[in-house]
Amino acid sequence: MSEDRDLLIERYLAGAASPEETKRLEALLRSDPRLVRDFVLALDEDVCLRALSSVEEERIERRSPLRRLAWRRSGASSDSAGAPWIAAAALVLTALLWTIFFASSPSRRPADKSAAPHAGPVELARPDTTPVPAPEQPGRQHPSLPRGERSIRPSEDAGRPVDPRPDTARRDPEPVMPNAPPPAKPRDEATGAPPVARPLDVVRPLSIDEIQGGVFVLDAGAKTPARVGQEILPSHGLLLSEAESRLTMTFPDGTKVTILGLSEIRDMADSERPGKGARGKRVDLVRGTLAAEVRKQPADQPMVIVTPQAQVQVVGTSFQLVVDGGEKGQTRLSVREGRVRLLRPGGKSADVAAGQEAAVAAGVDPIARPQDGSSVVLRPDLSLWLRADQGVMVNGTTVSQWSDRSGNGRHAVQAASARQPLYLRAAQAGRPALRFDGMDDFLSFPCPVTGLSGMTIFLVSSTLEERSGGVNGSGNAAVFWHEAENFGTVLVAPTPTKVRYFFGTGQNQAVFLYPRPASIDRAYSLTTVQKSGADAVLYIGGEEVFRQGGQKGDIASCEKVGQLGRGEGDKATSRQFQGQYEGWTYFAGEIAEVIVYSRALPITERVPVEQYLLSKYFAK
Amino acid sequence: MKSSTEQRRFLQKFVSGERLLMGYLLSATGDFHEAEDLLQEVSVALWESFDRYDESKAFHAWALGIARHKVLDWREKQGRRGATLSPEILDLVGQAQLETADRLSDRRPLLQTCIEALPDHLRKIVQLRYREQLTLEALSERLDRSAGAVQVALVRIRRTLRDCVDQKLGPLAEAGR
Repeated sequence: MSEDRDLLIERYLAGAASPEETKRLEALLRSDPRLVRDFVLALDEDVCLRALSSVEEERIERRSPLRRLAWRRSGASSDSAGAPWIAAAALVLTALLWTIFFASSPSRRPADKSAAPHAGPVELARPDTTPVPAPEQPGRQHPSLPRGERSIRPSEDAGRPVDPRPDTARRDPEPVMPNAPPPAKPRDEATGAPPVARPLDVVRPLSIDEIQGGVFVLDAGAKTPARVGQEILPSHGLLLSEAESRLTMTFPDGTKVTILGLSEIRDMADSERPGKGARGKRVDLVRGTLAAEVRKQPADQPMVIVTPQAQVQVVGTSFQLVVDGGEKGQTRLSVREGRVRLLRPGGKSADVAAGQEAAVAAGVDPIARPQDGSSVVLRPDLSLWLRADQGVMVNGTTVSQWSDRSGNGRHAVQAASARQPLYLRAAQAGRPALRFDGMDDFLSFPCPVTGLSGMTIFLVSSTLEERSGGVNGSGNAAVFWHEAENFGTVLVAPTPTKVRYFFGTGQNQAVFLYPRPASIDRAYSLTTVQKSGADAVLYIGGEEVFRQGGQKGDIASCEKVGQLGRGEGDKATSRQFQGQYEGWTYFAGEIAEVIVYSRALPITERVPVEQYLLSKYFAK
Repeated sequence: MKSSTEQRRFLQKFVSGERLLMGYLLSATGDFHEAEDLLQEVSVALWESFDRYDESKAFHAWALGIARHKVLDWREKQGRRGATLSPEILDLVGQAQLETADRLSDRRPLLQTCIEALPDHLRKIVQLRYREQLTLEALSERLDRSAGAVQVALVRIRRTLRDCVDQKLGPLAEAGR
């Protein structure tokens, strides 16, 4: 192959070929069968290379003009909705991970992480391997220190079990990352001389200001209830055992840290090593939520927050850190002010600017994108994600395609313009939605669910009129998979006064029906339905309201293509449902977002998704 | 209503031909995102007309026939005829795809190994081009190299990968071309 021909192919497949170049390529392909084969080979290579690459991507900006238009529209609404965040002039960082560390024994506790030089106001960088300083025994005070400060020696660790191994051998292995300086050798190791005491660390005491719910101090394996005014030493861990637990602490410089429910802090300290400098505030957050307002820190002593996946360096800002344990966990960063670098150990980094967020998980590098809290949705087993503020292909005023954001390419489509739902720019909380007329509008999307043992569907919608769902209750559904065998239907059908839903397992039973305590009329609501083992559970606004037990294990048999805006009818008899014929019944209402997972999300994953949707569409 | 057996049969066939279809649509659009969107439409159309599929005929050929119609519709809507290959050439491409389908499938598993064997700087370009899906212009900016240099690098990467796969295939390689 000549380079010229190769370049032509390359440019064409990159969408960069001019009409003239395309003509040239066409002429060459017409005259040279071998080039056709090379071209076919290049096509196959591109498809494979794309498939081999990550599915997490930002697609919309490079799409068709119509889609770019839709993106701009949605971007405008996102901006307005996100204004309070920006006005807060703060940074939010979210990290999600699981509890292999939580289950660690005290001897497995990793060493303290010392601060590395930082490049910006806040930066995620590699964990350091500097040995952890141990606390001094209570009451022991270095004579040269100002009142209220304490000195500690590593050898004076009264709070931990004694490990007979040398200090370096006690250190846990840490992930190796590029660009990081090698850890300094202990002096005694370098010289071969007997170990000598390291310089004294100055520890500025941390005290507990406020406690709510179950909060415990972990010390040498002991777990004791925390008290207001109690000092927290570097050897202390903290455990917040309830969802409603809350703990607030203030550092001597006024930096305020709040830890929220179901969190664990392994280490927390504010120290300085005289003559060495590079220490400061350090928090080792295993899981949970940490919010902080950080005063301006010395340039060589940034506040460092370590998670099992990353390190966050803060010079001065306010932020929130959420760590939710799990092997499939992720670290999420949302920036309200300034620019933050998010780094995956051994992987790539992303500079995340104000108004953007990025996520890191095992094997997943960060990609900065507009911030709306939606990165909690990027989880394994996400089957379908339709959001009206992104990926809507508008055909005049109606929607011909609602692009799937899950990365699975399961776009919801409707080719017949008369049956396309209407695009509403500002339907709920200033955000767009699709309106289905209840007559014949619907979209279909390929998304097989047959055989699933668990499934979770989130739906943000409103219903414009009460419809019964027909004789079997499975009509007029907002989200619907038609059965391929009896009692195999999967559906969600909220109405003003009821919610009908069903996960068909082949069992002969009626559609599950939850009567609302009062009509919500045409108001939007968040409906979550979940098949979890033998239970089919309904949550409204994030609260469980109904649970149908006794279900068989798997979803029995559904058609592979699901539908939005259309429910079941009686195709055999063309029975009339609510004035509809033709064997289908339609949903009269609006849909703003639909998220489908192919498994039952545990509470630690379901709740963040619901919080994302609630804050997006229902924030007061 | 289609039976579950029919669904499984469809799925099996569709999956076996999905990459071929995607390649065809990529050749028609010259744009990966457009091709993905079209693939979506084609998959729905295939499913909806699967009742009419004649088992005695090759699925890939039938599927390409439906894809061809979708491409023609798309061309009408997009008005991008000048910058994309003509239907006549696409027919040639489709035909060549059908002829080489089996051999192409031999190459695919080897590609991953060959990507891993690329030097870091070339693998980075692959990631930017295919994972982040940067345009040539954006790629040029990101790498701080001229557009021409980037294109030449992409051509060389493709050659390197192709040679690597050929080497692993051995005598079968030439037949796969």
